[in-house]
Amino acid sequence: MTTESQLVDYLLGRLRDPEAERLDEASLVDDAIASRLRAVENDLVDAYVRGTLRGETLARFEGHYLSSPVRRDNVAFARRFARAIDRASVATPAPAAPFVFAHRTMRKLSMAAAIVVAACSVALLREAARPGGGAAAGRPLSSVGAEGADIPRQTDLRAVRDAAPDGRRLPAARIEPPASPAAAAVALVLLPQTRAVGPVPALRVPLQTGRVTFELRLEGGERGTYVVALRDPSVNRLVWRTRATSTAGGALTVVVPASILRAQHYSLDLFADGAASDADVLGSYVFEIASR
Amino acid sequence: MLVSTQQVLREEPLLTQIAFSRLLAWLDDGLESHGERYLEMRRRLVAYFDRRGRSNADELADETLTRIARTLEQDGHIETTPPARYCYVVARFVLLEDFRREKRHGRLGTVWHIEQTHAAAAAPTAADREDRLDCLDRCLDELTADQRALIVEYYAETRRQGIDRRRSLASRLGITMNALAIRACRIRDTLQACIERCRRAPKASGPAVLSRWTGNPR
Repeated sequence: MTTESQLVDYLLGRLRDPEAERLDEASLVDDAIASRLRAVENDLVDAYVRGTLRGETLARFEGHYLSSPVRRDNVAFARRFARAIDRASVATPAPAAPFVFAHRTMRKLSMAAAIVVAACSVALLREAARPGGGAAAGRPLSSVGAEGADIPRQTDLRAVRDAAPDGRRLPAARIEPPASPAAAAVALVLLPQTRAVGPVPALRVPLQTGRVTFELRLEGGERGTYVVALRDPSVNRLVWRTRATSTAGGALTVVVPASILRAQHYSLDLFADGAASDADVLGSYVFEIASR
Repeated sequence: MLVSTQQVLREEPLLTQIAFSRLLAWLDDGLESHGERYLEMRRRLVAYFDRRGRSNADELADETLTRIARTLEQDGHIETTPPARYCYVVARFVLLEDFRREKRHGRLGTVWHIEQTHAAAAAPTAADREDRLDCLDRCLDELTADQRALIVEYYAETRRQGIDRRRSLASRLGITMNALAIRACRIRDTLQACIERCRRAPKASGPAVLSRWTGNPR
């Protein structure tokens, strides 16, 4: 019996020759093994593009699996596929739980989320206020809530593409301006997007606010250099972007000029540094500006 | 004169229609698959050669199937069963020959490999990305609502809760986890293959190709 772990080892070139040759043959001759191998490979590639591979497996994946153009094509496809799946799954509500349970649970979760977000935001503001910090000392957080606000709905996978008829290229203009130390600031911590349809973090931004600081927590504390762009879903366009920014402590700090924010939903889309198109988004952080 | 592996393979004459028809029938092994079995075997062969470090995996897969087709054309039949086992036997010879060829013509082979690597590593152009998005769009459009629902639920999460959801999905569909995995993989494979064909083919032919292999006529 071939285990899933053996199949992963085979794909990563970790098996010894006799065992690898056995699987070479089985991958061609045995329909069951061929199907399982394909499923395991898809899951392995998906795990890579979702950033959940770790340690030696990640190293082997990058050192061995990605050495082939055919397999790099698989990864490129998986990236686009995962993005389409994620958008579609957000648009597909999970089966409804009984109302009382859902209501109580959501209220507790909302409160807990609000507390965590507020605590993190205060810490973020303090950090930003230090000399040399990215943002000036801000006024107290005006409002961070988790009142229910729906993520913009999409009906199916087709809608993912329909929603992007233009604006695919990362905007060259409106790159992050230098921060003004005197301006007031508010802050919000955004967690990695999950499949669950939960409340969208909402932020109240007073008119005198100069900029809004977001801390984007990366899944699994991933490290690297990224570009973050602000998407206006009402026109489905990227309206502002940062320069290449490196992670610190598994998060990215993004300072958005408050002047470009209106009372509506937005998403901060994450791209690899050097991405040429907004089709290559690695992740999206949805939030709502509750009022200005 | 030194020649590359690519040039050696290209010197082989093309298959006749009769040989190709016999190959399809032989791979089907009595069950009409409308070419699906051929595509599946070719995909497995490409993956096999690719895992063995061959940068010309596509060419070697075609070479394997071409040799089998010629044997069928000349002899009328092949004793070894099942057909997949014979494919493996021939593929091993093709692989060994390619290793030897590479050893003999290592210098040019290396140059060719480096050129291929550079070509593969080159960043896709904006036009490439547009094409891919258009093709993804068109191929997704070809899936039925049930197929879309299945892959969204199956691939939405790959960790613990994903496994639980897959189990629940298999239970709802009344099939085993293994059967579910195969079904999801097939949809994903056909989507990927559709996108590849769409990118290579004239603009209007992508969806038609997918319909053919998913059995979902529009």
